[in-house]
Amino acid sequence: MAAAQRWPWHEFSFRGRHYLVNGETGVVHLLDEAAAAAWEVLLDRSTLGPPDCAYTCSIDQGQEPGQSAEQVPDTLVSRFGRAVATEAWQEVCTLVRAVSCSESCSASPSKAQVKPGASPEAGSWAEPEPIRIGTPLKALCLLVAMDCNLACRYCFAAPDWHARGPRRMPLTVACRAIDFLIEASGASRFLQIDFFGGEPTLNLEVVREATAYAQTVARQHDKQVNFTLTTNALIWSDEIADFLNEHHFQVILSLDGRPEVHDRLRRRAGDQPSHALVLRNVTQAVASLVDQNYWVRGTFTRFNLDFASDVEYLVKHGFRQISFEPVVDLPDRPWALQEEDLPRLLAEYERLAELYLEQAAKGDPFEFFHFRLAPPSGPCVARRISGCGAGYQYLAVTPEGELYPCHQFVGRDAYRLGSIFDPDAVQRFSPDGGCTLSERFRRTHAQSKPECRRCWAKLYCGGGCHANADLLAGDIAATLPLFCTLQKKRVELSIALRTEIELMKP
Amino acid sequence: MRGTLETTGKHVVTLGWSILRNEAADWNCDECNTSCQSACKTSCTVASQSCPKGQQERSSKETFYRGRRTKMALA
Repeated sequence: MAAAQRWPWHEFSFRGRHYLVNGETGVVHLLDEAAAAAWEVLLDRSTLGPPDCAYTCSIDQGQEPGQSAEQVPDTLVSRFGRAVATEAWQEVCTLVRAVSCSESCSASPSKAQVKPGASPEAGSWAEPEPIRIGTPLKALCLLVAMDCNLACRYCFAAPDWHARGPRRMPLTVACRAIDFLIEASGASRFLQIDFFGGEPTLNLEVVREATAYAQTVARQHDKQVNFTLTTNALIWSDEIADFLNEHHFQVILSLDGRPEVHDRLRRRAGDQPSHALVLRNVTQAVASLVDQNYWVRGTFTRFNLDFASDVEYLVKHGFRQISFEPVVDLPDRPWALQEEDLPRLLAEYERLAELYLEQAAKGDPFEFFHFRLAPPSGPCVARRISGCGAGYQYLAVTPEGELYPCHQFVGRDAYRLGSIFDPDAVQRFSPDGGCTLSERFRRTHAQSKPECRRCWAKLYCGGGCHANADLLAGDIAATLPLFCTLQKKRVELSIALRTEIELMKP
Repeated sequence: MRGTLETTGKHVVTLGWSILRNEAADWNCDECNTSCQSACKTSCTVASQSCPKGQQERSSKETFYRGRRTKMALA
């Protein structure tokens, strides 16, 4: 089946299986050969754009010239035989009607059959009203050290501390930020704090004290705080592991895969390589984390378009929870990904998918962050639409207490959201607090961005990264074709891999 | 029927796990994680987020027809 998109449908194939995604609902259908062929016929014959009830219901009533429910296209009959062709044709027509047929459609003789529970409004949905996400603050990224013991060339935080000098967050600022989170979170019970930088282990004492403080204050307010620490693993010890275990941290360990790849851009002071020490420490860290709540996270760049080999390297070293992200940087940087790299990158994701299945078939699976699809209890549509929550649900705090929409925005003056020390800070970040910039973020999501609104992947992607959109297109509401294409490929493969894994089960 | 695949026909199988929860009106639910608190620090996504609430509530019997309710919630 050829790759094609006719809103709301998107079709793709993987390993000979045909998938059909409904972009309006996020629902995925698996089509066999006969159904895939029937779908293609339907696409060819539907002259008004995507197949819809205007076409399929007219088939039902024999209104389509030369067609009725019994009159299955000859091309299908000759290829699959009348019985199979008829079944497949009717199932595909029913599928289209079930999604697009409205109560106002008088053509369908079988509405009750295809639409249990639907209301009159369901079929009349056209352009949605603007949606504003009203959830309160529930996560802070504390930049406890705007300083680092590495000098990664693609680092998005480095420009800030190069401009303002390296700084570490005092405990007083960390505690005030935690108070701010507790107060601004309203009725939210589940809160998150990410210790980030720079390199947070350079200010470990503040991480320890702030963690203890957050737990005490959260208990007093009947809330629960989960902690994350993102580290380059250059500093590691049993004491650090004990502390992270005690407080059930999720730990993100940065490692870019093969030595030559990692050392090319992740350099120590004095331009020394870091791979050997980092690999040793990450191995030790993963072995010592009791909850196994970790991700080994790498960045791929134009220098390693064969990044599946780096994931394979990490798998061979025993890591089983891996995230590998495309670098985001200005296009004039030599490591920045370019549009012309896309064919290679898409093929590489497919190679990674095969590695994923190979390991699963051997009974030694690994998790790849962007191939994960939520289990049946996946996010609701509100969550899917709202994306990452930067700017209102999630804020970053600098060592001085300045607020930004997320860690990537730090240092971009236009996005400074004031300070945790502002007398009205808590009020401004309440859902109706009136912070103009925060309000923009609340209203910028997969359902409001013109390019996303009719994208089949919007309910899987959430609308993309605001910080990347601002960096590369100067507008948080922009979409980035290169990154959208990569995201869509990852979504396709996530769906296909989930299916393949299910089918492997006895 | 096998695993979490939900069969709706002989030739078209609806994948049950991808179906959206239909309590979309709950815009202020605060139980799930924010994306950037996990491993994706530069290319956030939402499809991998789990829903603590839904783990108990979700019915495996939902069918793709329920997708229509999502439309209503967004309208």
